[in-house]
Amino acid sequence: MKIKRESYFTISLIVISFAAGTYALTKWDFKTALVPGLCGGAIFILCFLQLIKELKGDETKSSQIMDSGFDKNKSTERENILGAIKYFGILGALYISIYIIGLYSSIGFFVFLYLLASREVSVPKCLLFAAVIVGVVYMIINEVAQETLPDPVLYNWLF
Amino acid sequence: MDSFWGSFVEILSWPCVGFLIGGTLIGLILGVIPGLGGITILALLLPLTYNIDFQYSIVLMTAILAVTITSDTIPTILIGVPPTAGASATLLDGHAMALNGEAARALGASYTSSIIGGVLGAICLWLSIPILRPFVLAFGPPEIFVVALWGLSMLGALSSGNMLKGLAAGFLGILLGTIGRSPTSGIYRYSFDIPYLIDGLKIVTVSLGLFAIPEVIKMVTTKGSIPGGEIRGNLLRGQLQGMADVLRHWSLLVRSSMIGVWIGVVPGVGAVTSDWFAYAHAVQSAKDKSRFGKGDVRGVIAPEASNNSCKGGDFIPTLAFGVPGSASMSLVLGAFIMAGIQPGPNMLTTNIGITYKIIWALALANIVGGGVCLLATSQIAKLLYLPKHYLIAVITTFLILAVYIGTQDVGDILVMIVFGVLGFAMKQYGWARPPLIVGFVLSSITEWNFVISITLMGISWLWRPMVLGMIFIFVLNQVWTSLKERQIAKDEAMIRLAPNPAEVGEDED
Repeated sequence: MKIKRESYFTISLIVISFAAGTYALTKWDFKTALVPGLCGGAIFILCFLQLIKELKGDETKSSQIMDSGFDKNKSTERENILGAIKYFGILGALYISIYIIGLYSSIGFFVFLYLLASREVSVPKCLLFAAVIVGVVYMIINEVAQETLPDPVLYNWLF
Repeated sequence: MDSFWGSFVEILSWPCVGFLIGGTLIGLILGVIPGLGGITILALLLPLTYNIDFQYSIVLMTAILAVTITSDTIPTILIGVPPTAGASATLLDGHAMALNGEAARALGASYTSSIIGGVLGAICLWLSIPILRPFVLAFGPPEIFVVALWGLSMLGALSSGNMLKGLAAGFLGILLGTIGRSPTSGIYRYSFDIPYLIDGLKIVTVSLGLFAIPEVIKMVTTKGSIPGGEIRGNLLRGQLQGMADVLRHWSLLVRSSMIGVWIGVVPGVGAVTSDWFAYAHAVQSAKDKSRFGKGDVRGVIAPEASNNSCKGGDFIPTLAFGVPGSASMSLVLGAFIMAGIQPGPNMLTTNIGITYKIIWALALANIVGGGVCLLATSQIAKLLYLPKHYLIAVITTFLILAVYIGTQDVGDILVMIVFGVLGFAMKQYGWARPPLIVGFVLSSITEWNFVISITLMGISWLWRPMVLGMIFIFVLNQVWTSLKERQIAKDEAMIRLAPNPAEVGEDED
């Protein structure tokens, strides 16, 4: 029996469901814990059965029904994972940046740097496109939604 | 009847027709912007209705509500980013069709289903107000609980191909839905003293993370332009093909519209649920399920017809009993109260003119909105020709905006990223994501109504006539579906044994 890469996802769900179910049943009264406990137990059992199936090698990729999945002819599994790490890195950086310097400047920097990193767009075009995007975001927030954004952390530190 | 046609003439006369067209255009434009659902737009416009004659402001509000769910399919199908949670069911097959080079066909089918679904919803509203009155008044927590159970029973249909994975994903959705305040005890579950988690997770954040982020990753990883994004063939021909598809699957269209109306009537269940109910029904009732999620036009027709007809259903309890069926309807109710009109039985007597205007506005806005979308598709579809890096930058900005604009809480962005990781892993390892979102949507509705039913009535609620009737229909549906599946399996076995399988005709839904 060899543990395949996809089985690690199943194992992680088993661990999470076990932790969630146990936490519910030990921390809360019966009524409060009923639904989370039942769900935790059900996920644990279902994922355990799924893991056995995967370890026995019964699992086939035909189960990808209801989801287009990734096109194996256009990107390999390794490329998908690397692409995901890269994109989640960008989103993570954007999250931290919005927290520290605010939405508008973060969006502006992101668009400018992303286009620049693609090496297919000239610097003035990157700047112009970033400015247009920030302008559209500003219009949507201020004119359409009429929301006032909270001050970023950096602003609070400085003033 | 005179009043009915009189309202039609009035709505087509100036300035009422201006409000109808204006509302339709506002709804169409703002429906495309991420994070701005119909409810946000209505909330913004509500103060304006103070200064406008109520006859016109209700037409404006109805038109906006009717079409935001028509135009939100444009970014959903073309770039795989649903602007609202309500469009996520359309993403599965609509975007897959765009990737297969059938974007025009998917959009044509989507608009046509929306038009017909919306008109059917308006007709149901017209026919049902006097009939449904005693029925909806008898609707309590036990009945809503049974409806929610019916939805959960569809997890099986949404996970076809691998029941274990699908059910596990569905239960995971229910578990995630329990985060926040418990309806039974008031205890904060899985909040770990983090203020953000006290109110629970938001459907927009969860659905964008699960469905939109993996699509962007697909763009990032695929070499060349947008993965399969070019529209092959003639645009007009593609749209006409989509329209023909809708007419070919007319029975699915009618059934999905009825599901939408039904879900709209049930208070507090909402359009997101109606989409998934209709999608699950399309899968459940189809003979050939293999194309679902990979670009089956039936996966576009069912949710689109359902979410437009849902608005008609939504108006039924609001107008007839003054009970808003959804959050957006509570704003409509607010507009009524601001104008000094109390919805209820008088909407069928003294204020019948307003009721007819709403019905006409609902039907006409759907027709005008769908028509505008059909005509503008050739321009809109050019989005697919944008260079990939521009598109990724724009989509990422809109994703951030969609989750951030409502609450201005950076926690929403973090949660979207976490669900993006989960969605990517599920997509990568062949786990169906729809059961998770259905479980999540129905989690609190199921638990809340179950607890209320038990607390108020013990187990005697099980013997309520409507509960019994609904359980009977629910069981009948399950038995019919399993018998049908058995028959299909038998037919497939026969086809495999047949000498020339190529001669077997195409499956109907």
